[in-house]
Amino acid sequence: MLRAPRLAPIAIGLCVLGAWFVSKACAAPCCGGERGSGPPLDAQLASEPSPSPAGVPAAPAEVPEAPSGPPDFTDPAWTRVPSRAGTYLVCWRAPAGAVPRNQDFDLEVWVLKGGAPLAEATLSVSGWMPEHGHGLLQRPEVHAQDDGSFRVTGMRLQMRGHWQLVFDVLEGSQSEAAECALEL
Amino acid sequence: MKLALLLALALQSPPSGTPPAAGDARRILLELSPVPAPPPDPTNAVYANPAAALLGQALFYDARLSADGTVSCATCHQPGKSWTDAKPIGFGLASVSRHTMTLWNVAYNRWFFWDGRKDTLWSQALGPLEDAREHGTSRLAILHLLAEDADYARAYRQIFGALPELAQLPHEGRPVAGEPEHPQQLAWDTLDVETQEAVTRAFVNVGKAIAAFERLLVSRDAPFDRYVSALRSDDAAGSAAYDARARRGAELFVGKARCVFCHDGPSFTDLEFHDNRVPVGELGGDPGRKLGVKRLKLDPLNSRSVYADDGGETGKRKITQLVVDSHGGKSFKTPTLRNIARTAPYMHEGQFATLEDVVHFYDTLENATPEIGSERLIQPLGLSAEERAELLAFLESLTDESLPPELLAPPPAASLGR
Ligand code: HEC
Ligand code: HEC
Repeated sequence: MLRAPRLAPIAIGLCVLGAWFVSKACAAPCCGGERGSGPPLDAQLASEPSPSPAGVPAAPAEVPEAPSGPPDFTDPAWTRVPSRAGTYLVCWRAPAGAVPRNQDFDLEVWVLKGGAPLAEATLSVSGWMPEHGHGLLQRPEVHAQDDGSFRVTGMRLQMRGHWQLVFDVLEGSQSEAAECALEL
Repeated sequence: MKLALLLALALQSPPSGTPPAAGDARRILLELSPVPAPPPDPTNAVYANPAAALLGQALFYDARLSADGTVSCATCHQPGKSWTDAKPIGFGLASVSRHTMTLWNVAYNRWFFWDGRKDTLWSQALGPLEDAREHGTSRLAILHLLAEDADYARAYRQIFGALPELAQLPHEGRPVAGEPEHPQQLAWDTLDVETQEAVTRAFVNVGKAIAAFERLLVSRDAPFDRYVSALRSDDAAGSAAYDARARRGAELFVGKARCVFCHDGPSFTDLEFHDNRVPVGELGGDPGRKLGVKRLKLDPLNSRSVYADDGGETGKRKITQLVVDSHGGKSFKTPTLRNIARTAPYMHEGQFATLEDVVHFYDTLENATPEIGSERLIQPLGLSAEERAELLAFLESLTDESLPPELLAPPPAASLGR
């Protein structure tokens, strides 16, 4: 499911570098939101990208699952990343807590469109280190779940430093990426 | 962007001075010590079995495990030389093509060899035994030795159960990839598949015992570890006991010099592969990790094989999801820096004779290979003479060769299997 990041590394690099300076002050922010002129995102959800839980060891481990429907994405365990043109909102969390460095972890991902979960999409996830010029050494696997979410297994961000998580959403013939900066 | 990166890192690292590390440097230093217990190895049922470790230790030092009775693991991994041979390129029955790696803290590794073509410690051990340039022996010859030596036979039986029935089998024989007419392969071909399987299983057990021994080779009490422990408990006197130069060197290591990006964690390695642009050695042409991945995937003894005691569970993800690093250069495993001052020469072909040479290289990138898709992290550092000395003092402070003396020689034969 992983595709090599086709994104211009320099552009990401600048974006990430900007985020990095910011991240010195506040916890690693999510920089994915080049929010274009796409349709407005669900009003229930805060429209600002939320801070990512990476590196916060005491991040809440489990969000209590609602008996039906998607979880509460405003919970701080979730990171919300608008796709480039704003068509989708990708919400992800590491169910085991904070994203570890150089260890395997899983992700739970929901792709929202117009505020509603989009299960018909194909998701692929990759990671990229813009300053180093390389990505993951292990190909994550994406498994669509019955509840409309995606389970990503075998993630491993092997190095300390600045990562870009890339969520590629493919719906029909349309593809749009959501990118998220992560400081490990 | 590079400039901005340098600037960012420079801002990040606190000014060097004699007080103990603070801020980001302190936070990162605390992640580099203490050395935890080695991780479990689900692919090796006897990884923590003391009787297996004792058998493994005996095998490690035994030159009978070689074609002419002259080569043991300890020929190249000498306990008195920090488990290396002090040569640029290893030499057993003949010259090999890479520099001998240390065995310090080897059980923490994810991949083995400079190119990571093995993914378990037990499978690693089986490579040199059957390599014509190293021990030059074969699995059948080793099993015959185990059966004929009463101490080995007793120990093996106690740990793994009965050896395969060997009386009718040739004294030599192993698979030789790509050489169907090789005498060892021809001898191997005389065995039926079932017997081959049983022999290979017993051979794998030899590797598992050796791995249990290697797991004991842990260095964890270097001056640097004592410093971090003092730092953690805000013990000013303890911190002050650490050489002031080494202290500033440690801050350079995690700050301006950017070493920690690759030499990370308590083993000072991220366990993965990079192109640090080290000049090509005399042998040249080593493709490093690229070929290592291919060889690992094809290896009949990898962690995905039936010989892994977890039924290939760990190996499924490890090997199936493995991708070659996406920076195009030739990359090699980041080596541990534990006891680095004791393991000269350095790099995969022993390109550098001294640590001074290594630091000079990272500082100036003199004769570095071109930056082709390689790590952009590797940029000239422009250190002052004092800073180079500080970095060296820090590297020196990673030295702790203390081990129980009984591990430094073969165990008494009578202690096996008791
Ligand atoms: C002829 C010298 C020689 C002999 C004999 C030898 N080794 Fe090595 N060892 C090397 C060299 C050279 C390397 C690196 C080779 C490479 O990367 O291709 C190495 C690598 C290793 C590694 C990998 C360490 C790491 O961090 O990846 C281990 C473990 C090891 N040897 C253990 C053993 C054991 C166990 C034996 C005996 C069964 C043995 N060696 C016999 C020279 C030798
Ligand atoms: C981009 C990752 C990276 C960075 C940054 C890096 N190294 Fe290395 N280092 C490596 C790799 C990979 C090797 C092995 C290269 C080879 O032999 O081809 C290595 C080898 C070494 C060795 C030799 C080890 C041995 O046993 O032969 C030393 C010493 C060393 N590095 C110290 C440092 C210091 C000090 C710094 C900071 C100035 C540093 N490294 C920065 C990746 C890195």
